[in-house]
Amino acid sequence: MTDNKLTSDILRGHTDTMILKLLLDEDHYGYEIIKLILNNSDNQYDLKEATMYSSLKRLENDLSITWYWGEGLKGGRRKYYQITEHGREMYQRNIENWQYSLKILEKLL
Amino acid sequence: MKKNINNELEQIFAKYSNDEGVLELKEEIKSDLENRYDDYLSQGLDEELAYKRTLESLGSIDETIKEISNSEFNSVPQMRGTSLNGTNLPKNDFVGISLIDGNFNGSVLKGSNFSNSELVQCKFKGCEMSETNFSNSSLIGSAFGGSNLHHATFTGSDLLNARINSASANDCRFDNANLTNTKMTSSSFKNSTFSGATLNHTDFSRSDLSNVAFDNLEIIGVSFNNTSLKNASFNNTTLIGVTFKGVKKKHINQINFINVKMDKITYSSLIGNGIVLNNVEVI
Repeated sequence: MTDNKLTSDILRGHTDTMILKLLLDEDHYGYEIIKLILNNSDNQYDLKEATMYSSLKRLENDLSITWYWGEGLKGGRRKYYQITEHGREMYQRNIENWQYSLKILEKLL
Repeated sequence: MKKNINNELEQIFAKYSNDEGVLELKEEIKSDLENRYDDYLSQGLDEELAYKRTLESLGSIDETIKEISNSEFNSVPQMRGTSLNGTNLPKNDFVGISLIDGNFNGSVLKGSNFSNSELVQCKFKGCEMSETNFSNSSLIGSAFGGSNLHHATFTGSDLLNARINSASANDCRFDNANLTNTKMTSSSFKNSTFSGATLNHTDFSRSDLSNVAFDNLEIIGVSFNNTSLKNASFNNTTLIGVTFKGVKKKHINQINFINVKMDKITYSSLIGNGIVLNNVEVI
């Protein structure tokens, strides 16, 4: 696991887009999102609960995602997050922004 | 150790207001941390290390709670094709509209009027829809998961293949509604009415059906498994292929099966619970 502060700052800045990407194909609940990000990063990026829920709230407030109560495994309820059409547009825009930034950084760094 | 995790969370959250958003966040984090702790254990960590790692995973949670307790959800009504999710449209008039695959997830639709509408395969998940009127509407295949439907009216509506799961639906009216293949699971339907409703393969598993009268109906293939049937009644009813697994014996014993006809499957489902039935006619 990386302890490099700078690296994780850069990663953290893209949490919204990471979550939107996961929700493109399927609805997920909180811990599922954390596990998928850990697995998809080959155990390099362990998203903190605080970072994730701030991001989910932000996405909810700008109508990029919505949520509903679903059934958990052991009875109980579980909040499932779902991407909206607006969220899909945001994802595309974020990806384009990132690719543009990358081009500039390659010239500058 | 799970108890310790819970105590830790209670302490962190004790500083904040108990509004709904904050309580829901606590509920989500609690379940996340328990899952995380179990995962660490199954990876071979000892209890102490698993506990330590679990708490570390929280991060600066105070900031997050503050953001949530301060944020007012200012949603602006937006019309994007047929997607109205996250919108705030209380008491709106949607009489006679026609919409297929419409998305209203997360919307506030309290007291809205959708009567005589066609809303096929629409999504109403996580909505505030108390007192909403769906009478005589076609709601085939629509989804109402997790919504608040208190005092909603579904009189004469068609809910074929619809899903009303994990919903709060006390005091609703389903009179003369078609509930064929409708999933009405893990929800609360206390005091709701079903007179003249079509109950064919309706799934009520794990729902609370206290004070509900299923009188004068023909009920076919319906699951009442693990429901609460406190003060429910089944007078003059015909029950075919109906199952009552896991229903509390004392609830069933309260039911006067007056003038009830049932087939052998239903009869054995009840007898299997140790219920003594005197007045029923087995057909």
